[in-house]
Amino acid sequence: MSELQLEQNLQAHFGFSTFRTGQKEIIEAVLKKQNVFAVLPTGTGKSICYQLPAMMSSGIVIVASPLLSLMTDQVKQLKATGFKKVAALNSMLSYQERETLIQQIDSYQLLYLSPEMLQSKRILTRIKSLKISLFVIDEAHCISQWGHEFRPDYLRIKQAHQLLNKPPLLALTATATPDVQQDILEALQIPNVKKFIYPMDKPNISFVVEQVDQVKEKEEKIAKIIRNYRVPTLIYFSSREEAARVASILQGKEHDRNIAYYHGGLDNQDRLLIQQQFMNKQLDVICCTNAFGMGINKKDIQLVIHYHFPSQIESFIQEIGRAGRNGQEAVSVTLFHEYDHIIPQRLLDTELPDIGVVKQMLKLIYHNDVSLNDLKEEFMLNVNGMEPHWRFFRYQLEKLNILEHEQFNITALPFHNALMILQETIEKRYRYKYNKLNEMLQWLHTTGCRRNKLFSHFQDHIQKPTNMCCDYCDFRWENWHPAIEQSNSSTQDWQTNLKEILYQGD
Amino acid sequence: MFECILLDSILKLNGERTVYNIYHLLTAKKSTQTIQDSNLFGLTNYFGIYNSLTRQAFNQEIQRLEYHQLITVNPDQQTVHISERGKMYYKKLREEQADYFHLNGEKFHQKADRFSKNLLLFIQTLTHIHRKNPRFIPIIEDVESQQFVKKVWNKQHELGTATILKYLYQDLTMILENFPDDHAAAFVDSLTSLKKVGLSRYQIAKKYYITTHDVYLSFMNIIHAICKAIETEDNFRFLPQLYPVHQTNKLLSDSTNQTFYYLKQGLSIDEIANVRNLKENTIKDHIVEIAYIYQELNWPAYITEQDYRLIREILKKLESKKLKDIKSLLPDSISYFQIKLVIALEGRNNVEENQYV
Repeated sequence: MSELQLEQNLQAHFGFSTFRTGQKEIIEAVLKKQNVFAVLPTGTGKSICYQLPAMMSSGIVIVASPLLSLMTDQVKQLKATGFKKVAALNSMLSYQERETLIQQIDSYQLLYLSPEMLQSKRILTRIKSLKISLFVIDEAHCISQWGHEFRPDYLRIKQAHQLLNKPPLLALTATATPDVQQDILEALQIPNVKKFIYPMDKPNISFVVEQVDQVKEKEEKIAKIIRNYRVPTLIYFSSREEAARVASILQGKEHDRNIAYYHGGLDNQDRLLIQQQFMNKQLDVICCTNAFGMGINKKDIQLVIHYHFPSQIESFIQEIGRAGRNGQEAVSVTLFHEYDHIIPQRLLDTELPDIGVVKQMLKLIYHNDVSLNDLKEEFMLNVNGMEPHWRFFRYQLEKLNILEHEQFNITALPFHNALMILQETIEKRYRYKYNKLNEMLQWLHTTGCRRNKLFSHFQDHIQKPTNMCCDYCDFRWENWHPAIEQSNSSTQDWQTNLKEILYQGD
Repeated sequence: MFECILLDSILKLNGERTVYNIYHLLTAKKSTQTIQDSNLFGLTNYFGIYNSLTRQAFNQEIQRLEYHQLITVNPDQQTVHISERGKMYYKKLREEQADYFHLNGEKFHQKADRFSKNLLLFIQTLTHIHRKNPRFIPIIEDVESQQFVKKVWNKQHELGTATILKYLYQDLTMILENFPDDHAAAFVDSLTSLKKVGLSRYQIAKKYYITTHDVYLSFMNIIHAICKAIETEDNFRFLPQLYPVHQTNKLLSDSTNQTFYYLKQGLSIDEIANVRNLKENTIKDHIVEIAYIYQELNWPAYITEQDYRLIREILKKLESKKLKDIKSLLPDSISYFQIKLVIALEGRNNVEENQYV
């Protein structure tokens, strides 16, 4: 395939005339049937690396992805561009929808699957009969025990890949420190893998961190910023209530900007509408939780404000990566108060099951001869129905061979050893998470160049910023002059509105 | 509107059912009991008008009514009564809303839901095609609606987008003129076209200073009005094209429908119970449910004419609708099933008088 042809295909399918950094090299390697491991920063079009090959080659491209909403969003977006041979097979489908999809499975060129679906013998057998041109593991950092979002289910992907006779593999991630990268490669054991590691830093984003003495100051500061800089803006919160509350305060202060909130508690319809209003420039500012942004492909966001900071640098980098996607000048502002760390701390403390519960459950296994189902029921009652806790526990039991083929085997390990190992695992994980939070806090308190400090965990060399660097180096608000967006708001009667909507009288 | 509906339901239930029966009624949890109760207490208009209501939001509203002393919660914590203050307030609301209240859940709850999806998606699709911009993300994700809209477009595209837009404009204006301006405006705000993405529920609530519940219900109210107009009048140019065709509109649960099938085959209660591997009492519940809608039910198979008349007399005399009270006044040989059956057969004939508005 000549260079020209690749670009023609890109133009035909996506309407872009040139590739972004990394895309072309990765796609070429993929088309040559090489095994590829790629780290591409968020917002640079990771998914095109397998979407374009899916459109160009015969056979089917399988994508394992842990993020359900991202899958469905991508399917929707691809369909909207006219590519219909795409589907997502996950637990969000009804029984009927799933059956229909499985029956027509050979009519797709691109198929997204959740890790759970890849555990199903029936689905695997069905897929095995197809010509698989590429097997993609998206968000590959989920494989690493030391990745910030370890998913036990994800480890089994390797077996699925083997069962499918090892088609060419593409493992992709946006955020992985060098040791996580190493861990992923070891876990997957891909032979002759070609590595593409691209720098995480975004030269077009400037960094500002401001400490406040009173929490209320945050609202005033934000109001002032969005009054002066009329650009598409995201404001991140760690709680739904705060996102909604501050959105309403800001709207009250700034009447001529259109502000809304978005979080996982809204129903599907409302979420869809808010996203599309933002895309359509009916909204300028969105107060959101991290539920926002995954599937949205808005290129003109120029300001990302953190009202709350996340619990690790990886998430922070992902979130600021929603800005400046066309390479235009963008600013990241983080506001913090000295007690803000309490919020992520509280979230961290509930991430793993309590050791007391673990002990109690182990006792049930060792002394009471329970079935797996009964144990799960009992466990869920004890952890307030937190499914991830159960998945963690179950995975650990399997790892220790206490659980094999859905049966308990207490001869694998004496009770006390099992308990000790589990306790150590949990403590280790907590230490790891606390470490991550500390990195984030250290960054906020850093007294040097923010850009260098932020990306130093990921790479040795930092690119030269294309605009102002950070508030330590050279950033001054008065030197930022983004192009002004006109907010369109209408207050007219319904008759006029209806006429406009239905194109009457124009 | 939500307040008015809740107060009306509480008034009519009169503490004889728990407050959760109202929740089940509004969300169309199709248990036999809910369906029977909606008939018994004259609340069929509200059946399934608010499918997406969460239990938590419902509880909040009930607490709010109590906080404002519009209702009192009884010591059992399960049932409520409307207060004098609540009655006055309800009367006032009802007078205000009577002119434009069209919700008829029994008749339209399924069709209205379908129709509203079809309408929203069709307007989005049509305006995009009109402006030669066929690539967009559908705001309705429901596959059935997407296929339906596709079919309608294939069938009607010869009219041309300009004509269809004009028809839609005329149809919608005609119906919206019958509603207060803010209801019509909120309805228009929720439509999505190429020009403008519709507002979400909470945005509309904020804009018009109403609750998100009222945003939903006033939208649905207009949709029910359109459904009614489509079924009874002939003035629309285009809206009937978007109306769902052939759909079971009867208030029967799936399980009851199966029983109904065997009943029509002439099977007896114990035979059906056997075939379906269910308890006889369950089948009896189904039969009561069927009795509300199926005029030809062969009731003499289950009760003598004499007993029927006896029960009917008691029902007329007694204010209470509590089964226990009714049964205590009848001979022991008469079963709960027989009482419920007569209530159903009789209720069918007089629900009309009970209806709201």
